[in-house]
Amino acid sequence: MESVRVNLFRKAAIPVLAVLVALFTKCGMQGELGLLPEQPEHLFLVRVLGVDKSSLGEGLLRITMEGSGPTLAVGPGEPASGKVPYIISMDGHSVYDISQRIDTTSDLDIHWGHISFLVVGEDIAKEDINKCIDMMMREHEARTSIIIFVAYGSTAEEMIKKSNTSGFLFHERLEQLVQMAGEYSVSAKVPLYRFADMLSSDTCAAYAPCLIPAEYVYNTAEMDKDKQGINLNGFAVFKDGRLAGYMLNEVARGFNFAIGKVKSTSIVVKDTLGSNVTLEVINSQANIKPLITDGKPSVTLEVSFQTNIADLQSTRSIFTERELDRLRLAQEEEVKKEVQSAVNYCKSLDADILDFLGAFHRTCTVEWEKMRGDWDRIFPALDVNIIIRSEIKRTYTIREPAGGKE
Amino acid sequence: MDNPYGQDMKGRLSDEDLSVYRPSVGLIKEQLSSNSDVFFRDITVNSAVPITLTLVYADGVADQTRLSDYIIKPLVAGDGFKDARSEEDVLTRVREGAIYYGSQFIRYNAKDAIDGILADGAAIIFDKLCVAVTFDIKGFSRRTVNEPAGENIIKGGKDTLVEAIRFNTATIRSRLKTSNLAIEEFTVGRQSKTKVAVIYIRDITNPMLVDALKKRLSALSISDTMALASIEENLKDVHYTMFPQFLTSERPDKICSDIAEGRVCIIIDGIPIALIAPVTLASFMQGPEDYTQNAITVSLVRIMRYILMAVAIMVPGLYIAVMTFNIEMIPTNYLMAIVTSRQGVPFTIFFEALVMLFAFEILLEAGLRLPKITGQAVSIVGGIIVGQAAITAKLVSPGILVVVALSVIAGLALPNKDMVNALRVWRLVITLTGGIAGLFGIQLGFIMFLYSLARIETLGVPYLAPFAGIDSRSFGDTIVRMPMKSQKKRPEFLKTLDQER
Repeated sequence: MESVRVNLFRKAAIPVLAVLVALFTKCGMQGELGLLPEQPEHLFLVRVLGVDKSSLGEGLLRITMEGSGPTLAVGPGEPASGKVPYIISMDGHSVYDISQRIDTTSDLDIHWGHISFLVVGEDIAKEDINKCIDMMMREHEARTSIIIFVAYGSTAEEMIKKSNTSGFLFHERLEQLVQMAGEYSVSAKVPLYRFADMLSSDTCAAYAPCLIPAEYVYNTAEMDKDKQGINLNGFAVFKDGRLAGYMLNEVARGFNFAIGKVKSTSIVVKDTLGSNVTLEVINSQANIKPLITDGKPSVTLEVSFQTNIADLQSTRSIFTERELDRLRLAQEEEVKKEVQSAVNYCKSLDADILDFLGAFHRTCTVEWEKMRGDWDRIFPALDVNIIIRSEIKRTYTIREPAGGKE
Repeated sequence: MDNPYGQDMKGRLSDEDLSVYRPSVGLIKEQLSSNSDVFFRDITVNSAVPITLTLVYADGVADQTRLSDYIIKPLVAGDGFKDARSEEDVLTRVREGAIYYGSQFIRYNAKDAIDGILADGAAIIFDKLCVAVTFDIKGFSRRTVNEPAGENIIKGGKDTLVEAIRFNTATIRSRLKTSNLAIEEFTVGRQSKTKVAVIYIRDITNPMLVDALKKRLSALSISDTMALASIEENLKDVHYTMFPQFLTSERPDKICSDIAEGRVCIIIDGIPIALIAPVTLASFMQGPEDYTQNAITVSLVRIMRYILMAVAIMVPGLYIAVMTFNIEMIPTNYLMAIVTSRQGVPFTIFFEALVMLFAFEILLEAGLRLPKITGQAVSIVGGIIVGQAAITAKLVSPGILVVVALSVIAGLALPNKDMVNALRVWRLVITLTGGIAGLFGIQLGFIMFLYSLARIETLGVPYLAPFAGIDSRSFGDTIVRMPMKSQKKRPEFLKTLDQER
């Protein structure tokens, strides 16, 4: 009798387990357990979401979605080489509200699972960035690794619509830009989860990369005169969820040096003859050391990097220990200027995107507790000591400059 | 001597009754009266006084040359019986070797005598003594030893088992010359009375395992053993499972290797395939060439087989689950390629997959049943022409065709056909669970798959040994094959008497 019970229990175990798991994972309740789920060819796969303030009324949003859908697939009569952007725009109260309305008013079933980029218009960024990202953090289909951008001096819609060309769709251009972000290191990719962490952090302010309208340079195959290009340059700095300002070009690179995120860039210094020597940065590290002396906080920001000699314009060889040492000091000076300008800019905005307060939190917790409420007052006046260390790593085997005499 | 049991017993008797009667001509004639191939012939022995004995033989079973030269000739024309004056004297001379044929047995009950005549070929009945002497002179034509059809290898023995059990046991004994090689015979089948040999090595194989198998064989009550399944299915531990519980092989070297490892082999008369037990899942993933090739190469191939097993059962289900429930898992560019190829296909991916699986099963079955050349033509027509036409007609998408074909071919690449058949069914199960409940269904199907494997034991050895349990020593010949030098011990799960190889 006992063994019969055990057998019954064993036989019942799997179906019971299955039902329990189905119930507790919401599969049963959500209606996702079904014989006829939605087929992928009926979905509109959102690739880029742009969020702007709506012109239709106060508090309204306008979202623009670029994506791939059923009609985007190459069909009869469509030029084989052409790329047709699939863009939808609509106004509403919130991102979710608008997406629901698009679902019900069109034949499209919006799927967020393949969204890669979120572009936030300048206007809404100045008002409140949280309105744009909350739904993306909640939506189970969306990936939190999507990259966030701020449209510099523009709306997201304008940027998406003007940047779609016959050569590149907007999301393809963004993919390229993100892939190449480390090449000159004047910007960097910031995933949504990281951005949201920064926004909700007690210790630091948030930053996001900027998309800047640019001269049309990348599509050489077919020029679309009414279109515009975009560049990835600099960072938008947020204070309390609102856009406070932009760091561009060398200031942005200085910021990347300060957080140790420079993967590759070039520094141009002069040799003794006044000719340009271009040094290629091959890596960088940064370290923040907080210090409290007599109750006064200060920070030592140590930046170290390595370079290779990439380009000589001089006709004279520079491969002497003395000259290399001079070049090293020159590149350190150049980087120090950029880091200093980035630190100064952050101070001017009172936005601690370098997370100095976080460094205090990690090392001087007791003092941090006292400082955190007063950080907006302390940070602009914070004493930041910048130390730069560098090394010219490789000089390669070609010792003579082009045109130089043996 | 008078027959105390009645010389003229009439009517058919059961085996039990026959076993208590002594053999007599009348009794045996009565019992074999409906056998037109059994002949009775009186022969007069070349003795001092005329003595007539009855020779009984089954035509076709008995080799006529051996019957004439080694049995009739010594009796009728030999000098060995010249001074015999009674049947007792003749029987005494026979016992002393006057009939110079080795394989002879004196039978004291009618059942043994009749069995001996039908199975071995001939008997001489001493009617007054009620004793029979049977002779094993089987001589029916035997198939020549061919190369193994299903387990052919390049570097290794080329012989196979044949239908004759004695030939097979001899082949095994010629490879394992140890005196500890035990070949125990059972007669199975009420009608067929088939000889079944249980072969093992006495000082290696776990005796509990042998006893369990012998006990099951002894208790077997079946009509005949014409099909392997009639014995296999009656001996296995778990009945309601699709996974094979005996390894089958036609290669004597493979069989001997397993016997030497501590397993038991069962050979059935009339079936040129041996059953080997106990087995584990890993046994079915070992190919015939695994022990003739380089260990590293074989290990890589074995790892690939496990991957192929996963591909065979999981891929269609995973594809449906991901494509219908979790499309965010697929890189966007791949997804768009699949979506583009599905434009115009009217069916859901789930339905497409079921149709394609069904189509492939049809092709496989058709290929098996048809002659070899026609089978190939069916595969080509079905696989390429109909497949391409179905895609062009937008009945199925290329994606699902590739996925199902990959899964089917991955399954067919596994070395054991019984396992392949089991995996065919599990592929369908996981496709259904994946199609209905997505990745959750895949998990559920996979748990069911593992459960169905884990519940099996063959002769007390867990099917998932050595993966389930702590038996690291036996891992050397599972997913990988370690070099022979490092495999100094027999698998722990076999619990052999002698652990050293």
